[in-house]
Amino acid sequence: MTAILLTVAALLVALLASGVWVGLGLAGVGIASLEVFRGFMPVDKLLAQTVWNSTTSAELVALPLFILMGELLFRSRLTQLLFDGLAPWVDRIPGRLLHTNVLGCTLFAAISGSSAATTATVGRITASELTQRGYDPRVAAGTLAGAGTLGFLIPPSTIMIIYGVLAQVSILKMFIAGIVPGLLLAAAFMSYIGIHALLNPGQLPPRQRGLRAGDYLRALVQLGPVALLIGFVIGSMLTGMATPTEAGAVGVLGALVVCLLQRCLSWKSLWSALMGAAQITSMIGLIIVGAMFLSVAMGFLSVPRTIADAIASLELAPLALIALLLVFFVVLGTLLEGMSIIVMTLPITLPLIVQAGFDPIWFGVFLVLVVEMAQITPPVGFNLFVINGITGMKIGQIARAVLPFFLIMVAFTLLLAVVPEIVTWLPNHLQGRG
Amino acid sequence: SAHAATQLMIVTPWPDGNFQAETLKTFSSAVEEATDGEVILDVHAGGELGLKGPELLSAVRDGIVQGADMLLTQQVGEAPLLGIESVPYLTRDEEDAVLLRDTAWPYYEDVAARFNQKFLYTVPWPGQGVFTQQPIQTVEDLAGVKLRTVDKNGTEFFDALGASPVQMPWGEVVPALASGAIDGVTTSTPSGVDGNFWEFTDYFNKLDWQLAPDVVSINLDAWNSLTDEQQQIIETLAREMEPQFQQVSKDEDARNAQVLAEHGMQMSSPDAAMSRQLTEAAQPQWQQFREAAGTEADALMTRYLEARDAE
Amino acid sequence: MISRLLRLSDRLAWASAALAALALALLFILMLSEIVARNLLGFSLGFTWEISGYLLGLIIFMASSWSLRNEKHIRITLLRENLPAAGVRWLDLLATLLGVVIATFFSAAFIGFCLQTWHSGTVSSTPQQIPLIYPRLLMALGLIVFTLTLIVRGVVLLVDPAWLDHTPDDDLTPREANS
Ligand code: NA
Ligand code: NA
Repeated sequence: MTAILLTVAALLVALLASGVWVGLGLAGVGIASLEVFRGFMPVDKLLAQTVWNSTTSAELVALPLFILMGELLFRSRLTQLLFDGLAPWVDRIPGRLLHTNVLGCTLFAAISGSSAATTATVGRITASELTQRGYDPRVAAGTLAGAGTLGFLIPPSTIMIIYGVLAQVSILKMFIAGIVPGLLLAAAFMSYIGIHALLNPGQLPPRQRGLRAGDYLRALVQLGPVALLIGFVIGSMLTGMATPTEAGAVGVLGALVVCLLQRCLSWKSLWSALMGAAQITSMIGLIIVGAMFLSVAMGFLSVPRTIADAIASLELAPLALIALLLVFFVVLGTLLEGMSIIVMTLPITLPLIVQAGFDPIWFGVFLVLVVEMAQITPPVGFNLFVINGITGMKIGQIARAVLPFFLIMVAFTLLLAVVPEIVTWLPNHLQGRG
Repeated sequence: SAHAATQLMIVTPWPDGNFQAETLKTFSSAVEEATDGEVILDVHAGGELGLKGPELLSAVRDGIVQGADMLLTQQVGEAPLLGIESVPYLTRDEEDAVLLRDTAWPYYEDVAARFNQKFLYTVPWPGQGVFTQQPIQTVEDLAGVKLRTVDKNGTEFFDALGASPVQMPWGEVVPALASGAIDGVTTSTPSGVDGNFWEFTDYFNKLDWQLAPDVVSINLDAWNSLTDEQQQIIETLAREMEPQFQQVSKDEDARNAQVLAEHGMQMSSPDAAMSRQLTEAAQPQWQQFREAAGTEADALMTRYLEARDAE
Repeated sequence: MISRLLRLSDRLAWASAALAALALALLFILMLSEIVARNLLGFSLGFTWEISGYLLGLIIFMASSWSLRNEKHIRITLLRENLPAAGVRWLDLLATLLGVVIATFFSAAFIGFCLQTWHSGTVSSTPQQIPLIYPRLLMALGLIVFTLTLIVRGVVLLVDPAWLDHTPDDDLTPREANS
């Protein structure tokens, strides 16, 4: 087993460091380790079957739809309205417009299932505007990278759908379980921004002067379309019109209507949204394929079982187990993409966690938080890539700016371990419904 | 023992704790013990190996794994004859089910050989019924009910009965039931308990309209690599333990039915009149199976029906 | 010569991505039709879920070449950022060659998969019983184009990497982007 682990680790480091595209690299590690250690089996047939199973699975169908919705909204003026609408309301709060990143991401998280889409959409609007208005670009990038991670925690959430399918827990309950922690985390981010602003007044521009009641009202009106769109998508799920996956299509429909009403829907922009969404889907899909195949290869080499046995043999107390897993996941998360972490480790970790007395729903939220941390840790962090793409800031610079938010998330995760009711209360409370 | 152990990788799509996965593990332990540790069936449960179900017949043929616990109804894309037990309402009761299983087994063995494998034993899932928000006492009660179905048989059968069959992935079923996107689901009692269906539905009518057998299969090359003695031990064990595993399935059904009842669900079965209507509604599918599944399958169906009606 | 090869490869990648974009549009229309049919017309289209899965597979592989060309696929650049300019070119070439090897394995595996599907006439186990050769063949095509795009990338890197600095814009056809 040591030989297998060393080979896999060496291959992984070598392939990824060489700059091979992550999805191909992960699959390459899986192919090579199976050829070396299980050379008698038809690796090509397993690969083809795994690729087929993972890319045509109905559970992932929501992903391209939400991405398309984000691409369409990016081409509309909806996000612009959102931030103009929020600006007067946060003017008196320490940190002021920096809160628009958190509030904007929280709202967008409620309609988009992915953190990358949330970060990209909100970031396009805020990054340049905050800098123009005199905010420190590093602080702006940090708040954006941190708050963008809410996309997975606040429903709908592609990570929760994948977890729900893999762990065989209700996706609806997962969605409900994410609401309270998501809002609390957003509040924690905002508290930090406020405190940081009070301590470093030099990094903020002067306040807006002479806001009147009318400005607040006008701002509310500007928030209307966003509220309607979010209400439309969530409403379609709650009334039974659409299932959570189909809500992706409802979201696209809503985005199309928004674009149509704002007169920014041309054949050209529709086509570029479709081309853009197809490419992002392909980017994420290729990583999923690679991660799935690597995880399957590890299964054939009995790696998960061996590690599980090793961790289980430690017979840790529940909280110590959670702490160990948190360290394990943070280390994995520096290098691996969040979705692949869940896919690869769930067969090991879920039985351990359930045995330690934790609720699978709780563990799902724990994993979502871990995945969110993986989004903002270098060298591989999706949110870092996205912000790098938007602002041109160096990845290391963004990673340093987001560090406080990372630490807040670690502390928050430990809090959830001590008080699991923060997660389980709402889904259990709503259980009798229907 | 002086021999190195032969290790065979066996995959089951069902998670740890599921009765199909657990009986397979029991079988694996028995084989290990009876062969003095010379043959080890290394059971991997719950999709750990990335295999989902419909590809298991070909996965065992190609030697991706040396054996599998497979749901026969999922293999009809490769071998239509394996779908005979899932033809709607071909069996009306337990007696019919046993007769069909025994009649079909030699035909299954032929199919297995064609796919370079050997079927060891079969364990049925508990019978399929309908979980609904409104009582289903007659066929008329099914009219317009949005019912989630899984396969071609179920979709066409319930369509013929006047219901509105809906297809969706299992992951969407509970949210859809909760929000009212669908009115009911056709599945077995263990799935109903797993999904906490009493939260969303009040009635379960155990129509027993379809059987869903699992088969444990082993690759022929792997099988032939065993000694005659080892093969004999495994065959004997399979024959001896099969009734015991089939009883586990029945116990599982009874236990889960009780859990459903304890949560206030109204349980029922079709009466004679409804049973006749179900048989009638299923006729087109019987005919379709005869025509589409090959001459062997047609012969199997004829032989079963003659044996059944001769009683 | 190199520019012509790259332009041809870009055109192929764009055409394949255009199919993916159409597949995405179709996926949306299918999902929406199912919602409308079930809620307003009282019946389920049934086949939408199965087809949507195939369309997703198509999108992922058909769009992969164009994503590669537009540098949308994620790769780790830590080592690259800390190398002198001359080293970057050779590292990129190494990464591309490794990518070609892995992608070729993918393509070969999928071609074998298609041949087997064709020989056994495998259909899906769903009510639709769709012959699986069609979606699988299209995915194989996407993979082959992806492999070719990687090979062309390797050749260009070897001859003159400057050609790759200019990534084609999404909204334009490759010809316009390169002129
Ligand atoms: Na979200
Ligand atoms: Na990371």
